[in-house]
Amino acid sequence: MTRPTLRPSLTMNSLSRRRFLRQTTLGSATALSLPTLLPASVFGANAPSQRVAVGHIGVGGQGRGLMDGFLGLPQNQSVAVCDPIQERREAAAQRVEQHYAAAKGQDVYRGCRAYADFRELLARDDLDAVVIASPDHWHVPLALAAVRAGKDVYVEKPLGLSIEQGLALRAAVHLHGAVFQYGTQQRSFNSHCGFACELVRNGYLGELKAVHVVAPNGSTGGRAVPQPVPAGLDYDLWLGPAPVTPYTEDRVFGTGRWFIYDYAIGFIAGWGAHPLDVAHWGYPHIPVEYRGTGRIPTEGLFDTVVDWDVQGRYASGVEFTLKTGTDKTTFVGTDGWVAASRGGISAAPESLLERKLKPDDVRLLRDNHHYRDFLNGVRTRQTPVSDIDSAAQSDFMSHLGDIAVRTGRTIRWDPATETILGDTAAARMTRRAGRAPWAA
Amino acid sequence: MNIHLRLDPLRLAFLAAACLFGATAPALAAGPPLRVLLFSGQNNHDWKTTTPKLRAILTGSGRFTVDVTEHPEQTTAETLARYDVIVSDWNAWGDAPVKEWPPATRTAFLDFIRGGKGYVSIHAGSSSFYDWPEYQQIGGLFWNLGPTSHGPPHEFPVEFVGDHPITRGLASFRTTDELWLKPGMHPAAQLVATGDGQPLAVTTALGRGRGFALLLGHSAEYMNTPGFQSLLLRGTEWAATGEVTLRGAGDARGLDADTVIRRVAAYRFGNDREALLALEQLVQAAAADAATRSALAAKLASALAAEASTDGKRALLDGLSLLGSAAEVPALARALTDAELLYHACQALARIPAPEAEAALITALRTTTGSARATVLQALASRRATSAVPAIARLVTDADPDVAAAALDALGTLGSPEATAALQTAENQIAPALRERWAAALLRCAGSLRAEGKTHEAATLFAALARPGRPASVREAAFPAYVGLAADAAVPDVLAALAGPDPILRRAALRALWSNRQPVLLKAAVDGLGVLSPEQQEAVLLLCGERGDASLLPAVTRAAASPQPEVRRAAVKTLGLIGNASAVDTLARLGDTGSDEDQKAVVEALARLRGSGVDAAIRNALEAAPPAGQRTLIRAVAAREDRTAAPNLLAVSRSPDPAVRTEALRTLGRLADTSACAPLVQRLSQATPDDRERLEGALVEIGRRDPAVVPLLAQALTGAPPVTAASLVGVLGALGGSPAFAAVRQQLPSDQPEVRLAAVRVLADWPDAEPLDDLAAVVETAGDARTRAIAARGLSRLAPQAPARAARAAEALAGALATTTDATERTHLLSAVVGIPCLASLKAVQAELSNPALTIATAAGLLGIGEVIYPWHPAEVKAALADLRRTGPLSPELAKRADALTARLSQPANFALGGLASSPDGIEKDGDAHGDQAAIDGNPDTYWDEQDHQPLYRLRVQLRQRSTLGCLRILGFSHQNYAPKDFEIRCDDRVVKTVTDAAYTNNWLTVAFPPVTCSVVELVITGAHGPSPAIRELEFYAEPPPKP
Repeated sequence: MTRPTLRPSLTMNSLSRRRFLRQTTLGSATALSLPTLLPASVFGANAPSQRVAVGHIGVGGQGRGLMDGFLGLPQNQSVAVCDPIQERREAAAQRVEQHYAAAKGQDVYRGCRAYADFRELLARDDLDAVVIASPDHWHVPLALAAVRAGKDVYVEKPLGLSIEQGLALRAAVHLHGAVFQYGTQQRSFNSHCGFACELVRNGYLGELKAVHVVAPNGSTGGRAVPQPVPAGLDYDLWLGPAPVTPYTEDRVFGTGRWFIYDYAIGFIAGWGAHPLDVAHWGYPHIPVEYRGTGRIPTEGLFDTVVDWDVQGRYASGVEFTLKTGTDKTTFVGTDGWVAASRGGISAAPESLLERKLKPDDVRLLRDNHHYRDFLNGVRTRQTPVSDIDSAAQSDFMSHLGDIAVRTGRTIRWDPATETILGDTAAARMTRRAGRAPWAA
Repeated sequence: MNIHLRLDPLRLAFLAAACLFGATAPALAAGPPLRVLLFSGQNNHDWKTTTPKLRAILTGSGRFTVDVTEHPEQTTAETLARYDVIVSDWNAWGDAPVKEWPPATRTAFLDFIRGGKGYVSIHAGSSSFYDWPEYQQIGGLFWNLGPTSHGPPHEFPVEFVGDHPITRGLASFRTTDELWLKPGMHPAAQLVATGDGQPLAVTTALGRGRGFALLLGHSAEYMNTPGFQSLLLRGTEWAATGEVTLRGAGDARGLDADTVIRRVAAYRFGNDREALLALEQLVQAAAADAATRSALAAKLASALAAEASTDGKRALLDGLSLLGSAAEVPALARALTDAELLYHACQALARIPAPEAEAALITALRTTTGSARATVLQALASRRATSAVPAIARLVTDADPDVAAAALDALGTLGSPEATAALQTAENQIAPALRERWAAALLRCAGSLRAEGKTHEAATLFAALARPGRPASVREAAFPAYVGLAADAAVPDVLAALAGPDPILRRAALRALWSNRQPVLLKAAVDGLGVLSPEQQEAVLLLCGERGDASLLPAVTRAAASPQPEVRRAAVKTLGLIGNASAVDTLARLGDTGSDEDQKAVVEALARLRGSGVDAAIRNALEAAPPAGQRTLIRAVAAREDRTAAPNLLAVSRSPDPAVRTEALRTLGRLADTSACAPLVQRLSQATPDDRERLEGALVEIGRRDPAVVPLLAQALTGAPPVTAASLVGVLGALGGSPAFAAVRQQLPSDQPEVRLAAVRVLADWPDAEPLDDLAAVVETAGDARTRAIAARGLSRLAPQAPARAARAAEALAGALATTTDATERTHLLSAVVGIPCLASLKAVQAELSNPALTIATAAGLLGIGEVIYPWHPAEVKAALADLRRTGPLSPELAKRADALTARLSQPANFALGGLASSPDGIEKDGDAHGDQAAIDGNPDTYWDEQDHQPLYRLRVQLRQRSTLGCLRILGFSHQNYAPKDFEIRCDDRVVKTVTDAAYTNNWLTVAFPPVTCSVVELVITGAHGPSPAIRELEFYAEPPPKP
């Protein structure tokens, strides 16, 4: 790939061509005698017309990491950042502008705006896609708003705060034909997870008997003492759809929000998303029965399930377990097993690892770059490797496991109607309220 | 355990509630932990998984500490004195190794029970000693040979019988497990639980002791249920004490709802959430039973109306959201008026299906304003409140934009015909800022119509929303949806849109292609590919690949010639997915000319081509293609693993292009079988050095796959030209194994120096000590210095692997040293000989001391040998040291070492030094430990340690050489903590001493035993001070050393 050439500032000034076209189109319902799109060759290989204009919502730790990854890709043009924490959004915008200034060999580059309110960012019609790396309880409300505003979305894991949210986002992505990529990067950034799944899909393990999923345990603790809201934080906006509760630092900063039930269901989803995603990739089904134990801490701020130990089964009779430990997904078949984690792969017999796929075999691996796969999808409309359907299913597994632990009962899931059967209280737990005007 | 904790019954209840969620929750403080001895080590089930599970459940409750013994037959009165209760996961069923307990064990067991302690058996822990009446009496339940049977594990109900502390307050439950039909039951046993009507759990008595038997728990996976865990924990506590303080799962009846609710009402953020968790547990328990549910819901509703903190009321509302019905709606409706409760009240009313809940929310639309009103709208949407459409519709023009937006969203979510109509009616009244929101809501309505099968209405609506003037975001979604419903009739629309002037429709048309599967649509787009933008072409080509429609092949093939790299690569990728043998030529041509990236794409495409004739077509293309194309095609052959291509690969491996030769030979190595060996061998003699390396590499690869290659190559050695023979010797060396060794060895006496040298080189690098004697002979007899040097290096490398033959190696080197005058070679030989510490090498180096050209390396080498062998050869080492000192003053560093060695010689020698430690017990190492060798490394800062609480640990030391020992010394981890307590000392697998309850002095333990000569010493450790038997140092002596 050649180095990116930058958005020409002479021809269109501050208006991008896409914005120009859209505005013109919207402005006159009947005037269709517009110029056709210029051929890309006018601008060279990576002309702005081929680049995807991206906005970054949530530029804390993970969001900044994603942003840096996107900045390195010639298909990408980051044009906006958004965060309710002033310091973060300003630093992120500065980082983007410095990046493009350096790439252009200029002292100064202007072209990335910082927003506190995502609605202003989404209102920009020169934006093709957004990268969402907000706190978990914002994932679906933000993604829904983005999709309904015509944007394609890269959404960090875990998906939803409830099963209802996952269903809503999936419906919107399909209705709008939006390109969606889930932040389960092991589908691209290593090849062994996909390879393990290809072994399963192509029957090299024989008949599948069990899928064992292990994810790192969540944390307990957190200080539950009200504190003054720090300057530069729009706490009400940060809370968004969640109920209003006293500010404490551990809600917003650090990792506490991953373990507070108002914002997440804990690492059973937050970390579970990765090995469960591999489970669904290799065996694209969802268990129909869940039972399990776990612990809900009663001291401190954190109140999501830890030490979960969930068993279940798929409709096919294949066994399913979800436990805590070092991340791993193990597929056990009649002819052997393969276990993939983000760090590596093992199998028995070991010869499975040497297996070469035949031309007729199902292939799962795509681009070896998760973000580029998304950006190419935005351009070509091809569905990226980690699509909304599998994202929703793996997220549902987390939620159903959590509900089984919280109710102490065996939970039965009907994949056809996507409802919990025969347990009204558990079924009610699939829906959560949202505080207006932010809810999904 | 904090014994100062107030024994407040209420607190106990809450603590107990915390346990309900799992076995690992902290438990209540009802006194010091009860001590469990878990019998395991054999039964006719999978005790290796059930025992750890039982142990985890018991310890996880916080009520028990657990020791496991895998040898209950060794139990003594003294052991039992330390426990309150025995839990049995042991039986003597079938051909178990232990069928009987010694009389002393039987007596100790009965005395323990009769004295007032407890005995619990779980499933496979029952059914032993049928001829022992007291054992049967305390056991209670057993497999009654004949009448008893079982089917496969399945789900069944567990019911409780009578009133017993173990089951009191527990709710009956369903579980999956193996169910014994007609189990044997002792006449004196009291039945407390049944499984599907069969006896499942009993209590028993013997003397002052208590017994509990539970037939659940066939395997560890069935032990995960709260029901099993409650019975195990409570049964064990009762057997140990006669009382039950632990509360079990489903034990919500034991929690007093009024008390819990009172505590919840007082809860404030920052307090411990025990009360909230207890409420959640009450709610979940009640949810399973209609009568309890309505009673508890009524209590929650009345508590909501009474005095309570906001945080407490929120928790009550959450409980009502799961339990509530129409009866609680008035209380919830009142909560809607409190801004701080609105969120939770809305959640409850959204979750309760009763129409009254819907009506309450609709009423609240009138009484609320602003964001509260919007939250109510969202709750109505969430519960799909179709009856609310008129009320919601009135709000789409609300002055508050948040309310109006929420109303539009709600109508979109409801999606009913009424909601659709309401949105359409409101079109002209919508605020301009909300027009996109309005259109998006209508789009969702169209989606709902489509889902309900109202195709015509949906298509009309989608078409209307796709028209210019609508927001771009909605047009781009609506157009593909319209196309999907209009089917083939929409093909012209799509084509016009794709190439048309409207950029929104151009993008929308692309989405329509992806989201609609009519083949005619894609066909039309492919036919018109030429008029599309490169970006669109790329997309259409990728879509062709995803659809896998082979009829598109000609167009895709044409596109593969596109000047646009993205288009070209998309076409190549798609050719790989839908192409067949006919695509080979096109791809092969592209492989000739493209960039590296193109070639990579071509290889991937060729690798994936399907159908018959693909491999043949690639083979045919191979020989005729120009070099760049050949490389691509060879890679494709490799990727496809086409083994029949070996002759073609052999042919192109003679290509004048070195890159092609490399690629072809590498691939031959991966694919060819033995038939390729002869032609490859034949070429060795004429090949350039680079090519010879490639040929050798291919032969090695083939040989690694097929053991038949080694004999073939060995045969080819006979009469081969020297160059070829040397090459073959190298290949055989790389392949290894006995036949290869024999073949290489045969070349040692070759009269061709290059062949001889190659053979010596191979043997010097041999992975095991097999060639030691041959190399020694080479050192003694070889005429040239280079060969000797290589052999000497080999000896030095291999000798440590065969301590018994090390002396032979050292003697050979010593002999060579004695006869060699060349300084460089002497240096090589000396450095080799000091690497083999033994008596012979000591003598050889000692002899060098008289050499006037004495070097520091020689002196250091002598010391190095002495430091290793002094325990076995003290006199010789002493003499050598004396000689060394006579050579004159030593450097400070060497002098220090010499002094240290002298000092060591004056003390008893530790024969563990230089040995090899291992721990063949299968237990994982403990996190911070330093491995097995750390136990005998002479460094007390490092230590050997493994996972806590294992029944048996092993530490085995292979001595450097056979030694006569009479004493052992251990430095534990810390004083009387983490150190071996009970263990056997085995010398050459014979027990020489059994140590029980070892007493350490200043963390040292010295154990003397009758002198024994042996090569291996092993500690078999069955007990530890503290959780595991860590060892800092393990030392062996001939007789007890002085106190450290």
